[in-house]
Amino acid sequence: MSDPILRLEDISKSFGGVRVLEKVSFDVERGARHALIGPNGAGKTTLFNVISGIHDPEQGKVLLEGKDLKGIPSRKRIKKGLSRSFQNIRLMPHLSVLENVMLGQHSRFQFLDMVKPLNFSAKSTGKAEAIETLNSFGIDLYEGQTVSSLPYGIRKKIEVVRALMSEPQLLLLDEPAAGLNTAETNTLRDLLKEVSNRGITLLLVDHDMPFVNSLCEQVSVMNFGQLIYDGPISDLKKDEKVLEAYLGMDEKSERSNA
Amino acid sequence: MLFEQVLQQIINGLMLGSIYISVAVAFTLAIGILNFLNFTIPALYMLAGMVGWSLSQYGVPFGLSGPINWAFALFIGIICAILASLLVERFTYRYFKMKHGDATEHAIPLVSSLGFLLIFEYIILIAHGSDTRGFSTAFSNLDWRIGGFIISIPQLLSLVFSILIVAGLSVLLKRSKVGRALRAIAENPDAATIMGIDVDRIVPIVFILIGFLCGISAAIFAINYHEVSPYMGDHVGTKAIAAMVIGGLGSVWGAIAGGLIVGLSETLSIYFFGASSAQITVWGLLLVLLVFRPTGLFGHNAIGKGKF
Repeated sequence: MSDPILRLEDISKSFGGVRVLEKVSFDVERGARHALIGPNGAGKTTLFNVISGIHDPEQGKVLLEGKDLKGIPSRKRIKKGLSRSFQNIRLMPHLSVLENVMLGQHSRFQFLDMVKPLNFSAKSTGKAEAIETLNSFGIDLYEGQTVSSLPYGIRKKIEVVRALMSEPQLLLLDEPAAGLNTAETNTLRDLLKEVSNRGITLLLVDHDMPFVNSLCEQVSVMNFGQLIYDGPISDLKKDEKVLEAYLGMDEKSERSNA
Repeated sequence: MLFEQVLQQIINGLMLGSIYISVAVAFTLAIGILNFLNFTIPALYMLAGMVGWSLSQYGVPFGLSGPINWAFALFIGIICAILASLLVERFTYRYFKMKHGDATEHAIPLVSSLGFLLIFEYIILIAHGSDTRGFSTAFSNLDWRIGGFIISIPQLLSLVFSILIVAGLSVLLKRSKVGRALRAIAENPDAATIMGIDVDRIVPIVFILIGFLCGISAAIFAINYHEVSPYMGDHVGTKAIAAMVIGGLGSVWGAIAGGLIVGLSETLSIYFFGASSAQITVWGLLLVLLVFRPTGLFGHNAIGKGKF
């Protein structure tokens, strides 16, 4: 029954003697909308960096579709169907919307194919594909404008569409809703639901609980580098460890404010 | 009479500018895409010229061939410049990127490229001495005279050719997949890597283009001015850096404008104030321009970031 697209096994990672991740294990089911939450400094982004190959774990395995990703650099992981967006938008500010989205196709290109003299042929099909995807998500092309001139909410959506251009199986989203207002968050949620309906598995980190609640079914909770909860989001509020990690801090901060 | 002489100098200046254009664009590519002030560029230019001269004079070393046709010799000279440029990539840029994760944050690659400049120069000095050598080609004296003015046809063709090459490069950067990847690397190499762009294999393309541009420029110089020397790169290098900055860092079209402006101010300065005044005029102009337009004529605020 269980068919995980991503399996994490006992991932541990330290930075300069500080244990950031301590034997983290969980599965992300194929087609799921899975959230990873936890207080600041819990190790969520580090775990994302381990999954996408920016950091190597000291211990443990990252398995994508049952295959160990050890030793595969990040730019090759994207070819294996793993794509990610970043906490801080990493679009190319001086390129156009279309060019940024088309950059997402580069992971699919063979190097020799790309350097063939004046290889313009694939450009036209790539362009049509990029325009079609942008249109299907209701994003304007903003012809002639560079990305740096566009509002933050639109840039977030463009970054998601760009990540889709690599034809991922699994999309990692690092705080997609951070910095967005309510209306922008709602359109982003609709966009991600549409992405999910196309069969792409989502694993996302976010602090915005209403957003997470309305998008995800599964949730993993981290605190101080350890996994303290992994299960359906509906049971989250019944879990004592989670209540302690979140509410315990709230109580303390309320007292100190008083 | 004075007016006519000045006009002739303007024509000569524009022709001289065609030499600077390609070299300035080579500097611009290195700075704009890799954020790397590549000091080997003048040596690549000199290498193409001297190798071309040597082959046309003596043929392949160790007596393997007789003197080679000048055009083919210059072609091999250009290939040598490209190979030398790849050597520089391997031991300056790539080496430091492997060692430190990022080549551009360190001044070391700049110093290494300066080292390569001197090594290449002195290898040629040992091989051929320091004399300026004459370079004879099939069309030495093809001039076009209109209304008392002399326009050298090879020079005119060279100017057109330089501009065409730069235009082609501009199209390559704007429209091709490689160009898009290069512009992405210029903006953010780390994000480009994560998007699946093979930065380590794309970066050598920049160095191939740099070698090619330097080689072409040296061939144009040899054909038009009929001489080469181990020091020919030094004169062109400083002018080309000035042309790049005047045009605006990271702007390919700016490098064309800058190259022509430098060529013009050089010939006019020599005409009015004597031969030694050229550098003072060019660099004085540059300093004054930078006070009023710190980004150069066509440059942007973020230095060298993804403009072209």
